[in-house]
Amino acid sequence: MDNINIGIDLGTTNSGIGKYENGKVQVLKNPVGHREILPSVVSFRKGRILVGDKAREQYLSNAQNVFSAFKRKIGTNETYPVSQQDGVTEISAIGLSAYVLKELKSYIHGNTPSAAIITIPASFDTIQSNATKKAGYEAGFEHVVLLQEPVAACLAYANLSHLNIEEEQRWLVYDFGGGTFDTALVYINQRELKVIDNKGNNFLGGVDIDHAFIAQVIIPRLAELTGDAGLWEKLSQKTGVYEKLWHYLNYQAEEAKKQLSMTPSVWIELNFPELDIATEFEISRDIFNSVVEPKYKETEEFIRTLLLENNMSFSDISRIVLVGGTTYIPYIKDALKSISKTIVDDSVDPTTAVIVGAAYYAGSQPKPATEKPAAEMDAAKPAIDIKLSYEAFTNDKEELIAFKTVNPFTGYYRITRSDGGFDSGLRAFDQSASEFVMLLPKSKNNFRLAIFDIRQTEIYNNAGISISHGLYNVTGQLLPEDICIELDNNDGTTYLEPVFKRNNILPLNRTLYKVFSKSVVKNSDDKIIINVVEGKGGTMPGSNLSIGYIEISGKDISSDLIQSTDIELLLTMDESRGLNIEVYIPSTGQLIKHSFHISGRDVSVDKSVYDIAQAENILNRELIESNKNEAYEVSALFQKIAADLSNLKMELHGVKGDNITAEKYRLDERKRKLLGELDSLTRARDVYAALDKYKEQKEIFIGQKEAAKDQQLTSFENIVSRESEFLNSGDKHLIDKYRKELSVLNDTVFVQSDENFVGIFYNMASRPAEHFKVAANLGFLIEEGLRHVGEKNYPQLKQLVYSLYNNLRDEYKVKRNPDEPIGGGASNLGLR
Amino acid sequence: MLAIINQIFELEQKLQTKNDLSAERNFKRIFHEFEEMGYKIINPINRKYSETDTDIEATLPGTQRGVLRITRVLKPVIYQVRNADETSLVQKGIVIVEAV
Repeated sequence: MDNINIGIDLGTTNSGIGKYENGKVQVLKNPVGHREILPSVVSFRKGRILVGDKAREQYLSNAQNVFSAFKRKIGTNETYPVSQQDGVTEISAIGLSAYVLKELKSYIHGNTPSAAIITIPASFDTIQSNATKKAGYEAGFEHVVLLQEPVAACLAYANLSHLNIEEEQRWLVYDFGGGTFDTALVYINQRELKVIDNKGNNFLGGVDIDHAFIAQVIIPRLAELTGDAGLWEKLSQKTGVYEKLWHYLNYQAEEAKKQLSMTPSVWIELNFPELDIATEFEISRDIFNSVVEPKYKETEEFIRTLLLENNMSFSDISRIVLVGGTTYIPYIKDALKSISKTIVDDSVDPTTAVIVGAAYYAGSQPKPATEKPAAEMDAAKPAIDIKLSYEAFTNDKEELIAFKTVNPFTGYYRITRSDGGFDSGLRAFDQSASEFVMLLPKSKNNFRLAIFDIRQTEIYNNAGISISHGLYNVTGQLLPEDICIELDNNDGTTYLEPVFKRNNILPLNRTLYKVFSKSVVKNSDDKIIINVVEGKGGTMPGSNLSIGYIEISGKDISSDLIQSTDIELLLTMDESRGLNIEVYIPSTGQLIKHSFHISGRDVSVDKSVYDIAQAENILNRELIESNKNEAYEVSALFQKIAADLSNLKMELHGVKGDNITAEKYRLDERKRKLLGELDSLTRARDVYAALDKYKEQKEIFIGQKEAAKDQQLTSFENIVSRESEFLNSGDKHLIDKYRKELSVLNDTVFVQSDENFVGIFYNMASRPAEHFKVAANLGFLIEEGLRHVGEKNYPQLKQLVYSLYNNLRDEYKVKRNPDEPIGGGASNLGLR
Repeated sequence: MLAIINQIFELEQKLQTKNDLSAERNFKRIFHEFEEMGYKIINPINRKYSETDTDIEATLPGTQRGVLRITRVLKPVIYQVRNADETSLVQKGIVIVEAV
């Protein structure tokens, strides 16, 4: 039989839900906003029902329709009036609690649970307890078991700390939350946990400390600075600019409070231009403690009374367990320790301790046998047919999702965005509805539409609504080809890196941050070339159409350009595909702007000659290789390209000074055609080889996965998760980039284990003496190394390998860092 | 990482209030690097307030005359892009909304 497994903390101020699975408890996160804690607040506005953070926000602006702390009224006849467009309706605390429970239920992925443990304060009487149960049923749970909050907290501490309780003990639960304080005495032995007695104050919490902090610490300093003695009074009225200041100070007080829980003092910096406030001051923990003390003393009074009424003293208490966010304050922990002289246990996150305890309890409680089998439950769900319409691609900030049911239907709907940034809340609708949804720019936005019946039970959902912003658009101007920039490889060759991808919507802009691959001396003839081409990333640069070409020579610069210093490029392409390139050189402060229109094609004869020289290098290698492999047919193709290129080169030299005829454009066209042929002959094979090398590195990582640290595993997973993007790109440089990242990762993992140095040692020991800078003590070091291997003294061996490696001549060292240049590339192309 | 992003954001805001734009390029560069690391950082300043925007945590004014707009951003909105199909909100923007 299944257990209940779901535990809920239905709190006065905040609530939360946890799940027990395989011996562990997981506190579930809100899919909207990804938080564990849900404020117990419900708001009704213009037909929209919101629960949690967004409802709480409207506390001031929509006060009459925002309900909080309704738990205090559960079990009473009091109802809350909700003003809606169609008049005023009344809702009870049970109804409001059911909204919170339903919201928590929506955190669970997969099958909707039919049973839950819900916690209640130890002070709840039978009527309040039954009312809470009723709220659980209204939220759609068929089976509800109640658990007292202090018991849940003790369970969390006992389970998470693996406490072995062999004799009977008495624990004190100290629960100081945002808005309420509760304390309870709990009896605990090997088998059971029960609440002996409890006390509390529904109007004492962390918020009171924040307000006292503003009033007693911040305001006197601000009043002095502004010379406004009536500042506090104005702030209390919360009107106009003082309302904004009040919110601002609340935020600052909250941040300072968090900081003071970790450090002995904090600098509070206040910038509020509206009232000319710009100041900073240091607050020590002592000053903060003086604010906390009176509030803490109130809680101490409750504890003392509780103990007195039960004829106990602190010496009878074996452990004080902390619950609620306010117990993070160090003063409170210290004061409790000092008065009780017992263990003050803060080993469990106090904000989720009750949720965790409830979920542990849920993991031990069986579900009643009367439950319907899952198949029957599904069959019971009414089928609903929805017609949905929306734009899948857009450039607008928001889009409309419209839908209607095929048959007459009245109920509710809710639309959420999977990244957590949008939630329509629950809205009533009659057969059809539409909602404007906000989009995250330049992203694929995934939405989920859920439809609920009149009892707000989910009966339909569609999580496949995807709206892409700025990625593709069928109606807008599309970019027909990739736009790439030519960059230097470390070996003197160049490659293309895509700047704008095919099918992106114009206009486009992007800033690239690169470094110079070489130095250029002021006034010299050396130059940096920036070449932007239209064509696929990964193809041979010279085979593509150049659409933007800039030369920055030594004569153009105000001081020397140093290799490896930064260069910033802002590329923009307008709707008519005009390209603008803005080059900024931070080291000289120079800004160079160029505009290009494809109709005014710019061709540099020098660049064409350079492209041909690069191609000739490739051809030479390919010819040797194909002849060696006796691939004469392929060799003949290479030879033909080589001969054509050679002729072309001659012709290009002939038109060098010719700026009148169109000859150089014709020759450029021929160059691109020939280089394109060469590229198609070699590229598929190179991509295949790059894929092979990538896979090899991947297997190496998998082979040593056990030795990898968490962070390294995450890096590996990050690379693997992008495989679909680069493995099918047909771009060997892109594949190589990830191969190199993996290779660096593999090296890092490899050297983590001292034992791996045995292999490296033997490699070093087998090298001839001329590989080393100083060969004098080689024999001794190798002997030492062999001894370390024999004694399995791997840490010593590692040190020795490092000193052998440092002694290696540079040309024999294996360079692993992909950013580190190997050899001096003689390229005069600008960027790497 | 979020703490670092918030500090840089605050630094930029601070200079902007003094009309000091001398480091704008550097900020742009830093935010570009964050983006490369998979963080999408959004400054929602001047955005119209909507109760459906769950990427912000707002304090609203008690009186509502005029359009509600975000007039101060204490912390930016941060999304983490894990891959093309998986983006999630890792920090809600903390903002002050006023009727303007």
